[in-house]
Amino acid sequence: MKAFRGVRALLGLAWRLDRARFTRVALLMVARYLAAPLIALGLAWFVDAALGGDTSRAVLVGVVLAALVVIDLSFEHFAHLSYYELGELAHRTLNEDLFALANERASLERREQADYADKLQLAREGLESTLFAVESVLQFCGLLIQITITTYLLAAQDLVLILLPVLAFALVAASQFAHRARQRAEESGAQYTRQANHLLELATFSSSTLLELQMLGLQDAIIARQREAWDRATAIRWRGQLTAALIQCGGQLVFISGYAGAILLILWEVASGRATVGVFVLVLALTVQMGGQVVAVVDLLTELQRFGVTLDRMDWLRQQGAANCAPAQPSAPAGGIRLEGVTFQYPGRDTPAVRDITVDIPAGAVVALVGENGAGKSTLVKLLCGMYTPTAGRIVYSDGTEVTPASGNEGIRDRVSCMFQDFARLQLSVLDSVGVGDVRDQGPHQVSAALAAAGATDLEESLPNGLSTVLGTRYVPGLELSGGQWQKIALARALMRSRAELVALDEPAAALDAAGEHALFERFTETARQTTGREGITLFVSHRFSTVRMADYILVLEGGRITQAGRHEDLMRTGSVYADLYRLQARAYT
Amino acid sequence: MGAALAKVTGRARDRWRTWTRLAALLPQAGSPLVALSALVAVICGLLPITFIVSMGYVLNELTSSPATGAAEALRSVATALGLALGAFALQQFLAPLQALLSDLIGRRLDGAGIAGVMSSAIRAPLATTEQQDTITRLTTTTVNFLYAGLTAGRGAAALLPMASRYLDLVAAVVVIGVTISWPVALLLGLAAMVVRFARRGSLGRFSQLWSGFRGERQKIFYLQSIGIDDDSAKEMRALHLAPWLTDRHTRDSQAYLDPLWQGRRKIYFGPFIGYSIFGWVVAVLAFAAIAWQTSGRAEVLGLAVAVQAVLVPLRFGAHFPDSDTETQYGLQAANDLADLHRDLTGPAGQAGRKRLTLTAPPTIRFEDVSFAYPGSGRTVLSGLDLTLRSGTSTAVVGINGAGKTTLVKQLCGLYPPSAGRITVEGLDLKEIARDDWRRHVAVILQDFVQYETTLRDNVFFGAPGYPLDEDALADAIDRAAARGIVDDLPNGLDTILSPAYEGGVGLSGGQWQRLALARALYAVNMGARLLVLDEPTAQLDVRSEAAFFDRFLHLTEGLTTLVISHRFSTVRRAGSIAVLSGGRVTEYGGHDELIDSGGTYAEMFRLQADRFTGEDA
Repeated sequence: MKAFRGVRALLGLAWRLDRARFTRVALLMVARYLAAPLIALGLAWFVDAALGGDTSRAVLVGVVLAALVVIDLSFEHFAHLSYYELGELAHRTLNEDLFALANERASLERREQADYADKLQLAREGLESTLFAVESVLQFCGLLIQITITTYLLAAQDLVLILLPVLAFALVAASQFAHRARQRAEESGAQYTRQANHLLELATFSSSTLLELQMLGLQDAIIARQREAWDRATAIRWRGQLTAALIQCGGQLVFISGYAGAILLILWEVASGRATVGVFVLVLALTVQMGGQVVAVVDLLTELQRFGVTLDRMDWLRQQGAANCAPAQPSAPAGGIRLEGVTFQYPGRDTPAVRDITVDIPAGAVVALVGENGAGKSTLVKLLCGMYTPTAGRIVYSDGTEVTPASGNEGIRDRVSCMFQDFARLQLSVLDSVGVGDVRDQGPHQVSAALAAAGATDLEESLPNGLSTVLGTRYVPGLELSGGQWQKIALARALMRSRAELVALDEPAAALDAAGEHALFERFTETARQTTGREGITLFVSHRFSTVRMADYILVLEGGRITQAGRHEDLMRTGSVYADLYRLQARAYT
Repeated sequence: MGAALAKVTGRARDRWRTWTRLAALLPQAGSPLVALSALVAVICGLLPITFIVSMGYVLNELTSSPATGAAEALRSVATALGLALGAFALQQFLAPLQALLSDLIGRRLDGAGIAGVMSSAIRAPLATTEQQDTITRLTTTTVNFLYAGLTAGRGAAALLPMASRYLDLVAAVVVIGVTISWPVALLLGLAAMVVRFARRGSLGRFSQLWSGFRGERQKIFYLQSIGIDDDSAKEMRALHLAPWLTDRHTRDSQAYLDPLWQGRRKIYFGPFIGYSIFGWVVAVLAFAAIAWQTSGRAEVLGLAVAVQAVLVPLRFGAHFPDSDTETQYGLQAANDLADLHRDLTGPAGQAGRKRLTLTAPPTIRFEDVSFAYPGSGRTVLSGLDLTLRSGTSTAVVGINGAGKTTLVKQLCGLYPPSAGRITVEGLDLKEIARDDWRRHVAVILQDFVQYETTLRDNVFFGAPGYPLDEDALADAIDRAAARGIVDDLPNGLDTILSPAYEGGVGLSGGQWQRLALARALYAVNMGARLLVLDEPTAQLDVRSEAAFFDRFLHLTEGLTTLVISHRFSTVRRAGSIAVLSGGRVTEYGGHDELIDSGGTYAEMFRLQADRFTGEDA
C-alpha cells in the first residue's frame, strides 16, 4: 500500500537525517497520544469517586486528570518544534534527490516529453508538502498507539467492543477509493492549472511580459482566459473532491452503526445495573475518541498516500530511460569529430528531425551551420553536444569515443561546451551564472576572461556589485538584463571551458547587430587559429552570411539533411541553395 | 494612561479591521455557497454539545428511574438517544462536507484575487511596474496562488470552521454555567480566551519571523527551479550541474534554516511552558469545583454533562488545524494584496480623456522630447525631435542602449516624456485616452510573448478591444506567411501552442516570430494605423526575412510605420532613417541620402556591405 510505503520511507528518512531530534519527537508524541485514553479512564474514576461521595479522591484524580489534559494539549506543540525541523531537512534532501533524477537519469529526449515534464512538475509540487508528510507520519504512529490502548480499554469492559476498531476498516477502504477519485481529478485538471498559472505569471513574473500586456491592452482578454482555465481546474477539483467526500460518508455509515451499537450495549448494562456511570463515561469518551481517531488516521493515511504518490512519481522518474552510464572513457588527444549516418527522430514524431548525416569535421576548424527554420540545426547542435542519443548512426571523436548522453559526465560532456538557442537565464550572481560553465574552475579570473571573450567587458564594468551582482529579480531586486545582455552571459558561460574540444554555439549573437556579431566571430576565429596547440572545433549557427563566410567549413542543412559542405568560395561556385541565400542577403548591401 | 488606552484600542481596532477585511472577501464566493457553508458551520458548532447534553439526559434517566427492566428503560429515552446518536452521525458526515465547501470557497476567492492582481498589474503605470521591487513583490504575492499556498481566499474560507469552534465554546460555557456554576463557567471561558489569544499572538509573531525569511525561501525555491524546470534542463546536463546545484542548495538551505529554527524555538518554547502551567492550574480548579459541587449528591445529569463539557474550554488553547494557520497567513496575504493594489494603483496621474478615431495614418511628432527613468536619473532621451510622417515608414538605428526601446514605450504612451511632447495629428498624446490610442497602435516587441493559449488567441491578442473577427484573423495569418503553421497543426487554430497540453504543439523561434507578426497585422486589420516593429525579423531565417521585406512595402501600405532593426536589409527599405545617438536624432534622411552624406550610418553600412561585396558579389 502506497500509504505504508510512505510511512516507512519517511520514518527511515527522518531517522537517518537526525537521530537525536527523532528520538525527542518520538518520546513527546508517545506521551501525547497516551494521554487521551488515560483521560477517559481518569474521567471514569472521577465520576465514580464524585458520585460515591469520596471528594478528596475525586480532587486527587482531578489533579492528575488536569495534568493529562495539559499533556494531551501541549506535548505535540513541543514536539512540532523538532519535527518541523526534521521535515525541513527532509524537504531539502528530497529536492536534491529530484535534481539528480531529473538531470542525470532520464535522457533529454525523454525529459522533454509532456508526460515526463508533467510528472516531474507534479513530483516537485508534491514535495512541497514534505513538512506536513513528516508531521502526518508521526501523528499516524501516535494514533496507532492510541487506538491500540483504546481498543484494549474497551475490550476490558466488554469483549464485543473490540469489534469497533475492526469496523473502522470500512473507513479505510472508503478512504482508498476517495483518494483515487481525488487523484484522477488532480491529473485531469493539471493542464488547466498549468495554463492558469502561465497566464498569471505573464502579468506578475517579469516586467517585459507585463510590458507587452500593457501595450496590447490585454487586461480583459488575459484575465478572462486565466479565469476560465482556473474555473475549469476548480470545477474538476470540486467534482473529484465531492465524489471523494461521498465515498467517505458511505464508509462512515458502516462505522457509525457500529458505534451506535456499542453505546446501546453499555447503556443496556447501565440500565441493568451491571455497569457504573463511570464505566459508561469511560466507554462514551473512548468511543467518541475512537471515532475521531479513526477519522484522523484515515485523513493522515490520505495525506501519506498523497505523499506516497509523490514518492511513486519519483520512482517512475527514476525508471524513465535510465541513462545506462557507460564507463568513462579516458581523455584522448584532441582530434576531429566524425558523424556517421546520424539520424534523430523525436519521440512521438512521424519524421526524423535530422537524417543520415555523415560528415567529418577536422580538428581546429571553425564551422558554420546554416539552414532555414526547421531544417534541424538546433537538433544537430544538441546531438553534437551529447544531449540526445541518435536514433541511428553515431558521432565519434578521433579516439573512437562516442558522443551520447550515456557517455556520462566524465566522458564526452567535459569535452564539449554548448550554448543553446533557448539558453537558460540563470538568475544567480554573475560569478555563478557564468561560472557554472565550468564548476571545477569558476574563479573570478576565469569568469572575467570568459566575459571578455564573449565581448561583455563593458557589461562587466557596469555591474553595480561586480561579479557578485545578482541577475534578474526572482528573489532579490537584482539587475535586469536585456535579451542581448543575457545572450552575452550565456555565451561567456559556454566559453568557460577553454579547453573543450568542441564549442557549439546556437545563434550566439542573434541579439547583436551584424557588425557586433562579425567582430565577435572575428575574435573567435583569430583565437582559434592563433592559439598554438588548440585543436578545438568551434561550431556556430548563424543566419548572417557576412559572418558565416568567415568559417573554414560551412554545413548547409536542408530538411534534416546536409546538402552541401565546404568553404564559402566552393559553395558559391556551385550555385546552390547556399549561394542563393547568400545573394538574397547581400542584396541589402548592393 | 489615556495614551496607553488609546494604543490598546488602536491595536484592537487594527486587528478587527484585518479580520473584517478577510471576512469581507467571502461574498465574492457567491451567496448561496457562503450561506450553505455558514449553515453547516452553525450546525457543526452546536452538534458536540447537543450530543453531550442528550447523552447526559439519557444516562440520568436510566440511573434514576425505578428498575422496570433495561429494555423498558431504554425505550423511555429513545428520543434523547436518537438525538445523541444523530448528532454524532451528523458530525461525522458534515466534517468532510465542511472541508469540501471551504476548499471551494477558497478556490473561488483565489480566482477573484488573481483576477484583481492581474488587473492591477496590467493597468498600473509602467513607471511602477518597471521598478524591480514591484515585480519582486508581484511575484512573491502570486507565488502563493501558483503553489496552493496559504492565500487570502483560503484564510477567508477558514473563518467558517473557526466560527464553529467558537460556537462550540460558547455552548459549552453555557452548559457548565447551568450544571456547575456561572463563576466556574466564566472562569473557564476567560481562561480559554486568554490561552487562545496568547497562542494567536505567538502565531502572529512567528508568521512575522517566517515572512522575514521570504527572500531566502525564494532563492532556495529558485535553485529548485533551476534543477527541475524545463528551461534549464539542457544546461543542467551539458554542464553537469546537478552536484554543484545540490551543494549550493544544501548550503543556502542550511543558512536559512538555522536562524529560522532558533527564532521558532524562542517564540514557541518558553512562553508555552508558562501557558501549560496556567492551563494545568485552571484545569485543577475546574475539576475540584465539579468534585465539590456534585460530590455525594448523585446528580448524574450535571456530573456527566459537566465532565465532558469542561474539556471544551480546556482544549480551546490547542492549535486549530483547520483554521489557525489558514487565517493567520490569510490575514497577512490579504494585507499584502491590499498594499500591492494600493502601490500599483499609485497616485492617479491625469489620464488623457480625449477621444481619438483615426481613419488615415497619423503624423506623429516628437517635439524636443527628453526622458529619464524615474529614480535612476539616467537620461535616455534628450531633446529628441522626430517626425513620423503620415503613411510613411521610418527606421531607427543606433547602437545598443541608444534609447530605441524607450522610444517605443513613449510612442505607445506608456511613459509620458519628462520634457517636451509627442503629438498625434497635432493632439498631445498625454491628452488622448489610453485605450483609444492603444487601439490605433500595432506593435511587435523584440521580446514578444509566447502565449500558451490557442493559436487563434495568440493572434487575437493583437486587438483584444474588439470582438473576434475571423476573417481579419485569417487575413493577418496569410499576410504574415503563417498559414503553413496553422495547416500543420492537429487542431488548426484551436491548437494550444505548447507541447505541455493535450493536443498542444510547440513552435520554433521563427514560427513564433511569424505569429507575432500576424498578431500585429490583425491589429492593423482591426483599425490600427501606427505599426511599430522592434526587430521584427530577428528570429527569421534568410529566406523568410527576404520574403518579409519583399512584402514590407505592401504590409506597411496605408500605415505610419516605425521600425527598429539592426538589419540594413530592413532599414534601407524604410522611407526615412533616423540615427539615434546620445538620446537624440543625429542623422535623418533616406538611405541614399545618408550614404552620400558619409556620416555614421554610411560608415556602419559600408563596414557591413564590404563583407558581402568581396570577391564574389
